[in-house]
Amino acid sequence: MLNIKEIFILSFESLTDRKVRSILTILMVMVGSALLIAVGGIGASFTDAFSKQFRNLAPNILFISSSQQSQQGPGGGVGGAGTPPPAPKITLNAAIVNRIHSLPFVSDVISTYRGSVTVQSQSESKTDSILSMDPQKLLVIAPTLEYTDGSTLQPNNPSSMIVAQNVANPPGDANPFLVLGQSAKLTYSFVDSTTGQQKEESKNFIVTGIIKETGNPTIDSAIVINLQAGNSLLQKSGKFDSLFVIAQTSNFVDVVEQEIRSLYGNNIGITTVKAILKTIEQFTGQINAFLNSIAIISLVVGAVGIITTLYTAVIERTREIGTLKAIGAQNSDILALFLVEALLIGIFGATIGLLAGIGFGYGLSATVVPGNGSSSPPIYTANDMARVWMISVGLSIVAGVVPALQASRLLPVQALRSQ
Amino acid sequence: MALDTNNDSNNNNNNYHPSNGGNHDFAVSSDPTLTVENLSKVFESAAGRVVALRRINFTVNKGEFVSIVGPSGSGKSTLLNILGALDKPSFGKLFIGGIDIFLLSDKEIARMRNNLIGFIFQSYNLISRTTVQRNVEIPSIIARMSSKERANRSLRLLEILGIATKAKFKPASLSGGQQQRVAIARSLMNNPTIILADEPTGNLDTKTGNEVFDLLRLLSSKYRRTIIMVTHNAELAKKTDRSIYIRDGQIEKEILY
Ligand SMILES: Nc1ncnc2c1ncn2[C@@H]1O[C@H](COP(=O)(O)OP(=O)(O)OP(=O)(O)O)[C@@H](O)[C@H]1O
Ligand SMILES: [Mg+2]
Repeated sequence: MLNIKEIFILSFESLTDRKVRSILTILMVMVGSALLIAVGGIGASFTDAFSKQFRNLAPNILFISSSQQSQQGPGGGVGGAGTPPPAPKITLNAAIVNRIHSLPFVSDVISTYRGSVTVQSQSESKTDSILSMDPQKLLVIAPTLEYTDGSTLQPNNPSSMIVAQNVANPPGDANPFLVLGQSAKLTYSFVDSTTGQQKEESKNFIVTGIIKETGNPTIDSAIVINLQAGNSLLQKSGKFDSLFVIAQTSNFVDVVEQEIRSLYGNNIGITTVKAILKTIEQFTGQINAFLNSIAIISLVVGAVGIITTLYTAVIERTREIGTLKAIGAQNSDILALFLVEALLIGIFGATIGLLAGIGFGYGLSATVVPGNGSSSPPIYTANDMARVWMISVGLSIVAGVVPALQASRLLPVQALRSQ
Repeated sequence: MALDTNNDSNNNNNNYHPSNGGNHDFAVSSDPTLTVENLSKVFESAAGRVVALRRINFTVNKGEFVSIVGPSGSGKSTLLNILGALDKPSFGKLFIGGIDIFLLSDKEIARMRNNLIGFIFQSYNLISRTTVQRNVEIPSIIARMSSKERANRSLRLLEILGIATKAKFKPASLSGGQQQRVAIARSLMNNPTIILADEPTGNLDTKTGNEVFDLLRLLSSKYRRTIIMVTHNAELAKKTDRSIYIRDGQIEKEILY
């Protein structure tokens, strides 16, 4: 019986004897485990990014949208990333707000205007999103929201603006773009519907508050001004873009949704936090499953590569196997030699694949993963990496079983007769 | 120089315990005779039935150098393979040191081959990817000899066979005669009592073949190894102790020289 150390030495020798073939086989295993690692990391960050967006949402909120909202693109509305509502045909005005407010189990309705403006501060200007609503109601939408020191809420001051931390200090910029107490000019560009001409509406605002990061991307990228200021700056003429309907408790969300549906049918877009979370789960689950299946397939291809390589090696080395048996090697020695060869291929492939996969994941996430402009880095956990490593190595050993058994069962005479 | 100078550590190679302290316990070196009884071998294949050996009976004594001679296809290799338990007979028995070999398990047979028998093949059968020295060491690696003892012993064997300078070379860089010497060194590595050689000079020119044969002759006369060699070279056969002539799977005659 060979001892373990000698089995590893002998198997390693045969791997290095057929360098190119061994390297190619290792590469096949490597691609599989690298893909698994990369996909796992991206999937985790994907799920994380989405759940972060909605984690801070109170579960008793329903989002009502008008057709204008869809122009804002992904992530523009708090409810924007769920199932896109069927194009609503109803104008969200004060009358509708009152009607919904009067429904049973509804404790509040928060109406908002949305739009994109150019912000000019000193010589710099940037484009930012406006969330026009009653600033006092911010806490209803994002219960964990906090302001920086020195912030003041001036809900009735039409020249007051409250900006998100990311707007005041854009990530990556050396100097703050906006500071408390300063004035900045907001400019809204639009096409006049009667004349068809490009027009601009400008107004100066004073930064009265800065919102600390909440994790809710709508708020974290917003400039909040009150409804009066939003209506005139964004030329809304009282037509809201979206409403937050607050049910008394999350138990009443379904009842309230049915009530609103019975009033407006499919002419209104309703999204609930519950529905969003469910959709997100399905969506990320499907994407992860799809990516994982690709990775698994390539891992299986790697395993088939191992089978082919070892099978070829068994054929090539039939005579050697016969000689070893004549010299006194046990069947279990021959079995171990080939299994360890598969194991070594697996270990090399999985380990290199792990490292390559980590890099690959960073590369992919920078180019592929949709985010709000900022790319979310893949998330790798020791657990996931250990799992992929063991799956790759395990699959390699399994792939080695059939050729190794075949080698160990060769009859010594027949093996010696082969040329 | 003796092949078994470090007898202390090698003694266990001479003592074969097929069932780990069972009732077969014996020291082979005390009675290493090899006996075949009524040995027959039939190959059944789709192409038909070939009777390769018929009722073969003979005994080989300790230290004897026996040649098996016969025309091509007469069954010489088939016989030698059965003597080395590489193949099983269809009928009949093989006794080595009094033990009915084919009653043993495959595991025990492999262990017996490793400890008691050295094989030399016509085409050397060296492992090309590793060094000459490592080739020689393989039987002792299987026997789990310590690496230090392994190195000492393999180098000494290579010295005796006159190829010590080739220890670190790959077999492919050696001549045929040199490669066969490596194979002989390998067959001697675990200090076996029986050496089985199937046409060891078959691939060599006359001069080199004679040199390799002289080495075997020396193993037999000086070191008292039992050697059974298949050949169809009648000149060489005459220089062994005894020739068993085989024709059509049967013993035709035996000649004692
Ligand atoms: N595995 C096998 N299957 C079928 N027939 C076989 C097998 N091995 C050997 N034979 C047959 O048995 C007979 C004896 O073969 P063997 O190889 O023992 O001859 P040999 O005396 O060694 O010949 P050579 O001098 O050519 O080596 C031949 O007829 C051969 O065809
Ligand atoms: Mg033959």
